[in-house]
Amino acid sequence: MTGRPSSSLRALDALAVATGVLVAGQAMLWSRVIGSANGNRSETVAHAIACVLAGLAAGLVTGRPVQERLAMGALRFGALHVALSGAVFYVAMPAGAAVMLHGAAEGRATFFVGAALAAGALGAVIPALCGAIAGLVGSWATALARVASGHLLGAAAGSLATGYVLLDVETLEHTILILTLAALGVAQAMWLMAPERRRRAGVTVFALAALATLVAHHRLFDAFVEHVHFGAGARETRYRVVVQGRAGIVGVTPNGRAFSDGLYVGANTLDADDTASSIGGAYLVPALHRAPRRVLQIGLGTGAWTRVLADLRGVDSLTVVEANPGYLDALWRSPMIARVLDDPRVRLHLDDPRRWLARHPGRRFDVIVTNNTWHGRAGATRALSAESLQLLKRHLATGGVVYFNAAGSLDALYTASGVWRHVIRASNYAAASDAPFDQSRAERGAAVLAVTGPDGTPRIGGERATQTVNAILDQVSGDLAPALRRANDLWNITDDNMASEFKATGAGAWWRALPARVWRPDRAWPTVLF
Amino acid sequence: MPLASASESPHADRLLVVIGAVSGACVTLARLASAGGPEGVSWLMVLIQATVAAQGGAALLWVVRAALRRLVGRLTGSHAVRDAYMRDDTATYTVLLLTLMTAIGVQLVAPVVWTLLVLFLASQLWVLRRARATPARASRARPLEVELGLLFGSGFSVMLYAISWPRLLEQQVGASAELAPFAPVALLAGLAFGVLAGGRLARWVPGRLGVFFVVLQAAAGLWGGASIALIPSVGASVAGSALIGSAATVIAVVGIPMLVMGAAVMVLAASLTSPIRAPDQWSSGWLCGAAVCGAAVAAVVAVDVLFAFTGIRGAIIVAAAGNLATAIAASIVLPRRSRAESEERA
Repeated sequence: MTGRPSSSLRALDALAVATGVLVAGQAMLWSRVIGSANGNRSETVAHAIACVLAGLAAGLVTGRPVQERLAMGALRFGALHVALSGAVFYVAMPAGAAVMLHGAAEGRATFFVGAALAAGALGAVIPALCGAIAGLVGSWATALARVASGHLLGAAAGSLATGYVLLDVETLEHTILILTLAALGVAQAMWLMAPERRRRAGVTVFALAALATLVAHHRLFDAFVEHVHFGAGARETRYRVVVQGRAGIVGVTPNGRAFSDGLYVGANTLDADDTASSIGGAYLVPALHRAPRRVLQIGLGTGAWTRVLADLRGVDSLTVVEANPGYLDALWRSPMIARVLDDPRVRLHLDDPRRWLARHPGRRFDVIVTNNTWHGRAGATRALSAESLQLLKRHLATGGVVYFNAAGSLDALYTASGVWRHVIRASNYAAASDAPFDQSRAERGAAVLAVTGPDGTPRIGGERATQTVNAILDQVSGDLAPALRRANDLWNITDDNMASEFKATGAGAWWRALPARVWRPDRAWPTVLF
Repeated sequence: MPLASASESPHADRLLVVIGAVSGACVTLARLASAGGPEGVSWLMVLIQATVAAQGGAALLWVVRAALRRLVGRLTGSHAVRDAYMRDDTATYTVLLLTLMTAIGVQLVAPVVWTLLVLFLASQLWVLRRARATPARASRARPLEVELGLLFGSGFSVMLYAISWPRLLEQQVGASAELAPFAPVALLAGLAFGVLAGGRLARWVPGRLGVFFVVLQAAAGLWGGASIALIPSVGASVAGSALIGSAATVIAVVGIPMLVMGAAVMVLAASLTSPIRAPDQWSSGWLCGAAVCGAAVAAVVAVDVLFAFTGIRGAIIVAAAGNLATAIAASIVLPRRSRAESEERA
């Protein structure tokens, strides 16, 4: 640093802010990538953050000794480490995605290591900046306060800029590129500000690195999202349409299957015989309620369910609440389904479902349909908890039915049995109501066959109609509520215990099973051998 | 470096042999019991295998101890450190006596084996550290372990709140993509302004920073405890409001306590880096590193342990307890440290 201390001080403060922006931006992208690479499991984001923080802590502790060993000035040392962080961040992303093709666990491990290393390099800069500022202000405490607050403010700005702005206006791949180029830019600035010689050489190297990044980007990040979402399956599966936003990534494959952050959400099909698409579940709705006039659909998905629900006989209004606007962009690609939003009976609201329900306490519906994905994904509690189901119940008209995707979770069925008198199951779905499901099979079959398109043609018709209807109705169970209420080994999912996310699956299940694995008195060797 | 030190510490050597024999026999017997019971193994074979394992266990420990002593001698290059290490190192092998728990049914599954290894390594490091703590080194600078522990605890609590509070808020105000970024932003900005405020406080009243740390930590703990009831009620009152109202609530509910916690961390860090306390040039990295490390550990503990066993409110209670425990520990330790320093200066 030369000349005016005050301007030097401001420049160093700015660098502390810049490193904060980079750390937070990188952490946000690591969380998104690692989360998608692990089926959006609830614990994954926290693990990614932990890796970033562990790397940061290691960098903080080792930064100063390494700087002294290298005998470099603070700014030169900082410049090298910021550039190193950018390089590691940029290379580890596609490297991890490539490793995902061979093994998902190995790919995630690559991401975790990359996250820690990139954060570690940035962490090493902080003590160096602290040292430089302390030299100017003459107090370590003041220097520490300036650097730490600048870094944290930068992190706040970085998480807002990345999570709120960049990921909404740019793709994930471009955001990675932008953050990498930003790191190289900060490194250039630090190198230029340093009092040592060879300024031009350093700036040239960083500029060439930025150029190389730009040139290699397309090749390195080809099918990046598919690699992260599908791992080895990416060899066969590519997205035809990818819609990216701050709420996540929606991808649609050439055969019309839609995925949200790698989790299957539905298909662009109305064919009830397409068993792989789960659209058959939508045709069951008229079999659950004799006169569904007001219908609420939570989660637009591909819009196929919306189309079927709008085609139900006697529906006066269909309200759709969707939190992710990305689905809308994906929906327009299928004209057959997109036209449903032109139907005057259909109203779409882009909002968090629970928030929307809280804001419309007076609305009542005959049928509420929620089509969730996997019950162990992050945020599944908000759809499956007892509180959430109670909220739905408050919006049901007398005799109303809630039909939701339990995604195979018996805990979700058990929870529903605590809220409603009657619960039945159809494949992965559950229907619950305080009124009994007393329709006869013939009555249900007739209602399913009565689903007709806007032009009056039945959705299920032709020679196979009876077979199709039978296949749908065969999945319906009897009333399970009494048996469920007797069960003593299932979780009542609540907002607080988050059982479907943290107890029934993943790390939670591992911890809960651990005592039984560790202590087995029946296998004590004195008992067994003597 | 002598391989054997029997003439110097025969009791230690006997202890090592006993530990090796007992643990070797226990491991073998547990393995036999887990493999399928006595019907496939005769009494004679059990006896033979246990005897051989006991002998082998003792021999193995003997070799491991000799190798570790040689390694320590090579790495430290100091006879004093090596001799100090050799005085105490045998005691660390008593960790292996925990294999006796197989007699009551504890299985030697991977987590148990890893726990034993970690305990052994930790005790080895502790002995090594004690061996390296020469009198000259001990008097040169005030050790920072306690303060680093306090900062670790503070960082741990901060991250537990950071993970739990947004989830508690989401239950009331929803979890739309528009609202989601506000929680981390409020958290980080609150910490940032707290650190700034703590820095100012450290300049104004440099002599009472320990007291301020205790007060701020206690306040954070009390707020944390109250937040279990406060956040749902505040959230419920703005549940139906527009996005801006919900965002403001998130910022206020998360940001203000983070401001307090940020100030607490900075106050403690400042008390360690003030000129009167001869700051180590490396300490700024260690101080920040300890808090960040605590946060990293908390991120894993929250989702892998606390959420699995206690849920959100339980995690918040643990965080609040962490704040209060840190405050109590600081109120006990910091005054003693200050007195010791004053006496040393005098």
